[in-house]
Amino acid sequence: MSTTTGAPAGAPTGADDEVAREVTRYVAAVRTALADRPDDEVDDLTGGMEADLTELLAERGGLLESALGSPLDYSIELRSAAGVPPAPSKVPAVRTIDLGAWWARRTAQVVGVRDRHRWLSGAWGFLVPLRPVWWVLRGLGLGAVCSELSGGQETTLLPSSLRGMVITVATVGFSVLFGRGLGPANRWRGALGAVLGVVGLVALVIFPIAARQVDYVDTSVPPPDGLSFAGQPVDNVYVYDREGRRLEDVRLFDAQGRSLVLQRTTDVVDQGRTLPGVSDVYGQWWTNVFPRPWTVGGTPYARNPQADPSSPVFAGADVWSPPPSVAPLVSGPTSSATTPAAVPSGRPGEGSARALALSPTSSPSTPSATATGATSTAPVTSLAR
Amino acid sequence: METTQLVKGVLDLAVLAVVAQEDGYGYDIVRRLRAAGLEDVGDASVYGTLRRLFNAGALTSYVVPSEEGPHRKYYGLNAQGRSQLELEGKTWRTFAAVMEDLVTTAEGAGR
Repeated sequence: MSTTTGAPAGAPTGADDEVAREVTRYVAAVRTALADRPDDEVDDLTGGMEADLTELLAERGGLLESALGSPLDYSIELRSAAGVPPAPSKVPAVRTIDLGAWWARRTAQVVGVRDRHRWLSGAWGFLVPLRPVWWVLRGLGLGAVCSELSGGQETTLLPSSLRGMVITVATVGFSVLFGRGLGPANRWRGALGAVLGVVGLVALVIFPIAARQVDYVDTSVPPPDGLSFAGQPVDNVYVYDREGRRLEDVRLFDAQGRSLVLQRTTDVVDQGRTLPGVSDVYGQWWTNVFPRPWTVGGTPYARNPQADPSSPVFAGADVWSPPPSVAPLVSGPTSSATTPAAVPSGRPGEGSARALALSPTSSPSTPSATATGATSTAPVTSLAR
Repeated sequence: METTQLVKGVLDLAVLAVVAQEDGYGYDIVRRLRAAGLEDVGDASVYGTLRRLFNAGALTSYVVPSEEGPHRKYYGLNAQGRSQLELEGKTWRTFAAVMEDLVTTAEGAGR
């Protein structure tokens, strides 16, 4: 018999599964549309249908809707030709069937467009083997949504908590099983797949964006205030004159006449200590007097650079003990502003001190901080803290 | 002229004629009808017609097991179907001759 040709015997197993699922789906939808008829009549009307549709798909491919129309339309044509009365117009039944038929028509439209354009068909053929990748990604997106909806703190697609991992493993597993054809092949399957796909896709876009915004906030570092050197807060300043003698009670100003203050000052105040300073003859309180007499039991006070900068510590080993004198300078007999007022000192005793290199400026004549408006800085009367 | 409507009227005869040549299953009969020139014939219409002719006693039916995939339902012509084919064939020839005369006469008058 020449009529037995056309069976897809040579097709690969994966394609066979695909065809079988599609055929089962369509036949089930047609049987649903005939559900008002007795069971034996439905069996008679759809008997052998699987074999015929399998052969049709092997010949034409795609979705059955593109060749046969929606299952509802198919059932109407079948009833008409077979002399079976049309379906009674029961409102709920027709309504649900129409929903399925609507979905089937939309699918058929898309498939029709795809089949009419060769490049779309080619792209489709390229994408079909990648569907498992999409199933996993969709599972990740759904997992993130489920974690979020159940009150989790996850803001990333890949979970960091055990709870998020359990949820994500479950949703990825479900997504893959669903993609492989889990569940009944009825008209709700396609709609559910579309909803899951849209939710998963939106989550895949939203969650990485949200995670990136959180990162921006976390990485911002406030700039340090107060006197700093080489990126680190300065704890104290020691001044040596040209003869190499250490000066006491030197007041420092910047180019705008502002008193130079140390960042540590606020930390010390926060710890309940009095703000170190010296009063001048007019009662003006100066906090820019160096070197700072900050010692505890004779040990100079300093920040421990390895420790948390917000918690001052009293460190001995890391702090330089300034000698009373360093080697005098040999050059520059002039003391006017034409030569650098301060250069890196010859060699500090311990060699671990950092010399501050200040740009040569004339000494500030009228600091803005001077309350009395005197033309020169008032002499300091008291060295006591 | 809408050939779909014409096909509906003669689908019984067309199906009987195709099955008379050789037994066949649903999709095979659809394919042979299309190959013969009835390209607008609908799958479901052919399946429905086959069920109706079978229920009316004009066709025999038997299932052929398939080694892989679902079983196929074959249809063949029995004695009643053969006489129905003969009867409907005569009706068709008469009808076609009448139509032919009508159209030819009309075309001759128009010239």
